[in-house]
Amino acid sequence: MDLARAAGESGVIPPEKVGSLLASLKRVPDFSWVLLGPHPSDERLQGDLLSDFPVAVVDNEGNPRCSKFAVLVLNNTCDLQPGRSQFVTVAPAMDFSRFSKTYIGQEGEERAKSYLHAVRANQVCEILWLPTFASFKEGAVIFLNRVGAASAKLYEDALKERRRLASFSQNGFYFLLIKLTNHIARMESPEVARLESA
Amino acid sequence: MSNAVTQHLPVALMAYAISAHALRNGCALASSNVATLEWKAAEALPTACSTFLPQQKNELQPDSAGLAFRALAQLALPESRAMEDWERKHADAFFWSHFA
Repeated sequence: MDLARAAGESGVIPPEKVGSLLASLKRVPDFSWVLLGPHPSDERLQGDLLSDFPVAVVDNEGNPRCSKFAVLVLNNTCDLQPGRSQFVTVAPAMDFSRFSKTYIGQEGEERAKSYLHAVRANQVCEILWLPTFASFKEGAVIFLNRVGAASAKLYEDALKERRRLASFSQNGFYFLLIKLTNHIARMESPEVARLESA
Repeated sequence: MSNAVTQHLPVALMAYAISAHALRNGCALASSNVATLEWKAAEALPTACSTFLPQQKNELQPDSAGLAFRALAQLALPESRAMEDWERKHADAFFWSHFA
């Protein structure tokens, strides 16, 4: 199956948008087409990036730890409507420049180089790399494997305080789904032998 | 300006819940308009944005559509791979450093 046929038969990309998506995908690893400024009229969109949003994790002692991040909103657009849910699901965004320095500092430039290239090319399943937006001058890494839930009130506050940083373009949104699919729905290792149901 | 945002949810579901069961049961796709959703939410009316519509069964073939999107994801990023152990170790440390 080639890319055009897969897009056309996916049931996700309307026929009239397939050509545009394929043109965008041909530009990879240029991802400048993925993000736009915050959508001017639809303020509740899946994938929107917000600033200063709390993300919590549980540490080794079982205690919650919280810090503020820019975040990517993972809920479907329809589930972001007022009163729809008491929770919002987000993935933290971090500065690619700082991320790069960590790897270069630990592994040296040569070893880090190919890995960082793969991250920037969005070839690493767990990480969505996004091009420059807001204060992320060298882009951002979104950890798709560090997803958390927070009160929807915090989302409402972010909207009221105009803390939206960016929205996905139409083709960018399809690309987000592609990344999520490659992360979550990738094939299980062939060594895993699950039991068949009765 | 049209602000319709098309949400073809089977893929989102696939990404999060891998809802092969729903797909196998002959469900089809629905789309929604954000403005309509907001209005329905404000009026406390039921929203159906996540609905699979059985009556559209003959318009799409969800089984193959789901697989086609999976194929699209692979073809779009053919070099996709999971993190290696050393890559994950530094990513974890980097993430924790934000909680210092």
